[in-house]
This record gives sequence, structure tokens and C-alpha cells, in this order.
Amino acid sequence: MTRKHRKRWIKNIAGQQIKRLFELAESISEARPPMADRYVHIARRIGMRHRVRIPAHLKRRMCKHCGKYLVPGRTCRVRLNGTCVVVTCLACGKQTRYPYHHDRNHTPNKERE
Amino acid sequence: MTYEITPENLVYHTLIGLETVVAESTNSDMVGTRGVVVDETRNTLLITTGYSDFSAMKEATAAIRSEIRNTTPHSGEPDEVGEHFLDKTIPKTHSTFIFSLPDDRKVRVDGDLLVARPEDRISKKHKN
Repeated sequence: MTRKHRKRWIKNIAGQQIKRLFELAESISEARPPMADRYVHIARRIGMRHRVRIPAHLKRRMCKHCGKYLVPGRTCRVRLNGTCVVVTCLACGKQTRYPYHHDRNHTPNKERE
Repeated sequence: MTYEITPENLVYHTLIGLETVVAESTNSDMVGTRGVVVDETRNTLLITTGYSDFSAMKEATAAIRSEIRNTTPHSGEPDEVGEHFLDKTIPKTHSTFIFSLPDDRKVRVDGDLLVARPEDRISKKHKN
């Protein structure tokens, strides 16, 4: 295995591990939430160590502030305010905003004026 | 691409969620410990005995929760449910594990190969 191949192989395995850890977090979150948080922590560490991104849809399942695994309705609150999806972590109380401007010239505030 | 755990890459992959049996150990009390791996540190595996995978654990949760509610009302929070699982911490060194892969293949692994933090294990090189 050349260096290049090996690097690619490591990143591939790392990506698989991140996916698997989030699946495991999902299946254990009901029985043992601290374990789900632990898996998110490991997934983040793997991503950082091997420079693999956590896929966007999985990134939304964890709190960017405290690293908890988020389950809408149980450990986080999800609300729309017209411009953003606001996710409030019920453990640390912090909010993460995911903007959804489809047309930046047509924000709801401007329409009201 | 979906994830795939094979006998070749098991040593580098996530061990959490796999069913395992301790086949050999210098501590004879640990031999035969069977359960699902729930956590991993550099030197140890945390094994929950009595369950073969996470879905079985999930099913047991409801029963445990109602039991807690019956004995002590106004409780049954997830944190308290966790304490009802029997966990065992097994050192990786001086042990041999038999892991059951998701496709029911069984792999025998010398625990000495697994000594590393989960994020470091991927890039560890082995001579063989």
C-alpha cells in the first residue's frame, strides 16, 4: 500500500466509524443517554484526528457547544423563526442557528416594511 | 457507502456495539464474560453482560423503567435506567476476545492488538 492509498484507506475507515457511532448513539440514546454523548465525543475525536468531516445531517444531531447527542423533542427543541432553524440544547441551554435564506433579498423583515 | 466491518479491518474499526466473549484471560474470573461492548478506553473495554446487541437493550429499557416506577414513584429517568445494566470493565491486554460481526462471522482477536485509544487505533500499524 502506498502512502497515498493508505491515507485514503484511513479516511475511509474513519468516515465509516463516524457514521456507525452516530447510528449506535441513536439506538442507545433511549436506554443510556450518557453513552450516546460518549459516542458523539469519540466520533468527533476521530474526525479531528484524521481530518474527516462529520456529515452535515449528523452534525445537526449533536450540540456544537456541549457535545451532547440531540434527539428532537427529548434533548433539544427545534423551532423556525422565519430565517433560521433554531436548535436549543436542553442540557446546556445554548442555541444553534441554521439559516435557510432561499432568496437573500426577500427576508421576512423586508417584506413587512 | 455503507460501513462494513470485516475480519481484516476489525482491529481498526469501532468495537462498540459488537457482541463479544472473553475467550482467554490471565484473570480466570473474566473468561467467558459475554455481552455487548458499550464503551472503550485506551486499555479497557466496557461490556454490558446479558445483552447481545443494542436493540435488545432498548427493548429491556421499557421494562426496567416501569419497574423503577413501581418501586419508587416519580422517577424512571434515563440516567437511573442506566444503572440497572450490569457492566464489566475488561482490560484489553492479557485477554483474547471473540467478536461477533454484524454478519454473524466470528473473529478471535488478541487483546494486545487493540491497545490504543479508539481514534488512534485506525492508524496503528501491525506486523504480520
